[in-house]
This record gives sequence, C-alpha cells and structure tokens, in this order.
Amino acid sequence: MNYKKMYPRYLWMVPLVIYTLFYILPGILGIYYSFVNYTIYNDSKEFVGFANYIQMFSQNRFRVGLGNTMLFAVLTTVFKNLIGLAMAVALNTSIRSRNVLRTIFYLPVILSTLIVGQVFQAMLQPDTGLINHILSVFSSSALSFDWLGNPNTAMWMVILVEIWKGAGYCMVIYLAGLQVISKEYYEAASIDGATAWTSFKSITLPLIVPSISINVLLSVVNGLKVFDIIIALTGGGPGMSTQVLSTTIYSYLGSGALSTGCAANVVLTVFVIVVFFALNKLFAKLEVDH
Amino acid sequence: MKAQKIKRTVLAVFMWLLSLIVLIPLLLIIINAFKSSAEADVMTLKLPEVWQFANFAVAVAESNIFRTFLNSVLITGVSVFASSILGTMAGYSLSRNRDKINRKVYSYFLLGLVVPVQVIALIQVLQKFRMMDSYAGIIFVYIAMFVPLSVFLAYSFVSSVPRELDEAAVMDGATPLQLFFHIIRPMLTPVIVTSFITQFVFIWNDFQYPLYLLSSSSKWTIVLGVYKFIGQFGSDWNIVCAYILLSSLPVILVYLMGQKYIISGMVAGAVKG
Repeated sequence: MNYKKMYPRYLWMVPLVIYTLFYILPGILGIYYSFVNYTIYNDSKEFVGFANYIQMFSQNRFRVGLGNTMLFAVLTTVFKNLIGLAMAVALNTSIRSRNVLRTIFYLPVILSTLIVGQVFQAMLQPDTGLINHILSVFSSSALSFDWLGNPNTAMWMVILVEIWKGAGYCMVIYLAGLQVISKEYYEAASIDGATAWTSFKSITLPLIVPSISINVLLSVVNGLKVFDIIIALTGGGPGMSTQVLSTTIYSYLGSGALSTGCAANVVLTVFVIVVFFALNKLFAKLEVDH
Repeated sequence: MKAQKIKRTVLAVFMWLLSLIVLIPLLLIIINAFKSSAEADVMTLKLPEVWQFANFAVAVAESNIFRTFLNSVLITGVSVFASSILGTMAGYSLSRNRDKINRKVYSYFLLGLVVPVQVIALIQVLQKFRMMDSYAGIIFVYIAMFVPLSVFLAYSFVSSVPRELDEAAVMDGATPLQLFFHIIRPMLTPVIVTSFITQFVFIWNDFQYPLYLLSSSSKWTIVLGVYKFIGQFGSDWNIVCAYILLSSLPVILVYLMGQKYIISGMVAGAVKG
C-alpha cells in the first residue's frame, strides 16, 4: 500500500498553517522585537542589540517579577504536591465517602481562576472579610489586618490561594498512580514487619515517580506562566510586591514599551524551556533508577 | 479489626473537616448572594434576615450576562471542536506515515507543548490580520495553542488501532478523508474526549487571552464579564455574589453531573501529555 496516498499531507496542512501563523510566527516576531527599539510611540524598529535586556534587568519591576515568579513556582509546586499526595493516600483507603470527597476536593480545579481570585480577595479584606472574622476569635487585633494590602504578606496570600485551587489536581493524578500499585506489595511488606512509613517510603514513593514527574512538571511550568490569579487578587500590587513575569509583560504593554515587554516574554520562554528539560531529565533518571 | 475501623472513621472525619476549606468559600458566595446590600457589607456566613431573590434580577438587568455566556459557548465550542478534530487528524496521519518530512512536522508541533505564547507579538500579528477584538482572532489563537496537545495525544494512541482496518477500507475504495472520519475517528473517541475536556476547562475559564484580545463588551466571555462586573459593582457584594453564582452555576452543574468522566479525562490528558 502507498502510505503517501493513504495518509496525504493535506491531513495535517490546515492545523499546521493555523499553528504557524498564530503560534510560531508571534514567537519569532517576539524574539525579533526584543532586539529592536519598538514602542507604541516609535515604529522605526532599529536594531539595538541586547539594550532592552540590559535595561530591563536594571529595572525593579522586572527583577521583582522574576524573583516572585520563581518563588511562586517553587512554593506552589511543593505544597500542591505534598497536600495532594497526602489527600490521595487518605482517599486511597476504604473510606466509604471517598468518591464524594474526591469530587469536592477536585471542584476548585474546574472553577475559573479569575473568579476564585475575586472571591478570596473579598474574603481577605480587612474588617469585612470572612478570614479576619474567623481569626479575630483568636486575636482581637486580627480583624483589621490587610493581608493583600501589605507588601510583606500579599505574595504569600497569592501562593496560598493557588495551593487551594491546585492541590485537588495533584491529588487525582496521585490517586490514579496509587490505584495501580498491587496490594500484594503491601501485604508482603507487612508480613516482613514493615511499618506504614517504611512501606510508604520503599513501595509507594518509588512506584509513583511517574505521577510525581507529571505533577511537578505541570505545576512548575504553569507556575512560571502565572497570570490570572495575580490580576484577580492584587493586580501586581501593592506597589510591585506581587508582580510576576506575565504581569510585568502586561504592564510593559500597558505603558507602550513593546520591545521591553517582548524581551521579558523571551526571558520567560527561556526559563520555561530550561526548567522543563532539566526536570524532564531528572525524572527520567529517577524512573530508570527504580 | 476494630482498631482499623476506628482509624478509618477518624480519617473520614478529618477529611470531611478538611473539605470545609473547599466548601466554605462557595457557601459564602451562595449566602451573600441572597443578602441585602447593607448585610453583605460584612461578608460572613450568617444567614440573610430576608432572602433577597431580587439580587439575581438586578445582576441580570445591569449586565449582559446572557451575551457573555453565549460568547463563551461560541468561542470555547468552536475552538475546542476544531482543535480536537484537526489535531487528531494530523496526529493520526503523522503517526501512520512516519517518513522524513512527517517526523519533522511532528517535532515542530511538539514545540507548542512547552514554549509559552509571545503575547505582545501575538497582538501585533492579529492587528496585521485585522483580527483583534474578533471572535475569529481569539478562536484561531486557541486552536493554535491546543493543536499540539491533540496531535500528541492522537499520535501515541493511533498505534493501538490495527493498520489492517485502514487497508481494508482503502481496498473498499475509501478516500483518505472517508478513511479518517468513518473508520479511524470512531476508534479514537477516548482520546478525542480527553483532548476535548482538557481544552474545554482551560478555554472556558481562561481570563488572560480574552483580556488581551477582546475589547468590545459585546464580545466578552463570561469570565471577563465577571471581572468587568466587579469593577463596576465592587461595592455591592450581594449583587456581585449573585452574578458570580449565576456565571459559575453552569460549570458546577456540568461538573457534578459528569465528574467521573471529567476527572478521568483530565487525568488521561495529563498522564499522556
């Protein structure tokens, strides 16, 4: 049979054209813009080398954004995974209501991040928010604390809300991983007198490396690209205390600094690619080791 | 055995307490949606003194919530449908005929799974095409973003469909498109459903691209509508809560009805992706 005739190239032509025009072309243009002096006031697009990058790295807006992006990606990944794994282990037992619980814990995942952020923004308000009303039971001064308006706490709140929203996703991936582990391993281990912790460490953990790998990769990559939750909770403020790379790009666009915004976007891209391949390599090695 | 049972009960109680952390914010929105404006100034879980059903009428009258809902249906529906079908068709043909060109094309598609979008340059491109602030523009962007996932999922799954099926169909005179739509596509239903659900949840809930690409209020999606509504009615949280409740209800209902398929579909999308 002639494969070329059976599977002609026009079967992938249409998506290829759409993908090239609306994904790859902006990608290449973005790199190009980052090396010229393009603003909404200046369309001349003269080559300036790395000037945009050098200028950007000297700006607080970008440096804070870069730092916050890394902090956000690392902390949300760690806690979403720890909490998700703990919930998965708890629900992988014979609790009768485990299906209902799974449905509840997964619910935040299917809600819009923007809406979740707006709801928490209301809950975290000083004097009127529910969270301070609960905390004021323990300490009367807590009522008027402004979690999102204080530069020292705002970023932590953003991270907490993201953990609230994302832990359920990690949980279902871990549950899927746990459910394929044969019960016999645990029976054999308990005959040998292993404690619950030892069998978790030497049976469960090595066997769920693939699930860990997926969860960590997805959390880190999505964490580096974070945007919606920041806009909903703080808009990048107060001051610049919760700026991340994506919101920096948004604010460069708003102020008309198109080339600088593209440079920031290129940095984000490089970051995502490097982190993705480094983690991929690490997990590939871990999977082989076991 | 008895100790086991006590342990299990304690665990169940603990998990139910933990579930309150998820449920309380939702409950808060429901309760406050029925309060008067003055009562909702302080957002607590106290039940309203008089249940204000009129809040929902105000939320609907003061906004174009139905319009935003229909916009979301249109944008999400067309994008998800097109990228699932087009991507699956591409993934299938690339997987079946792995010659030199097709292997290159496949790697080229995979780039899109990792590399983030260049937003500012994307806006420039859409302006050149006169597609800013248009349904077509944002739909093409979403298709381009998600075609790589569909290609990737179909590419690996097609190997499990026996080639003899293709050969028999061609013997019977099927054209390449008939072969795909009548013979192969039904066999790929699980993987199409997976890409469909994964993309649907993302696009329906997305805020970033509507914010960047849609400016006129007649084209806003439901999520962008919530954002703009809060900007306008931020002081009346009873009305805002009613609006949030109305706009989230369809998603929650669909989720509760199909949660088994939605969760397993999204897990499959992640595990293979």
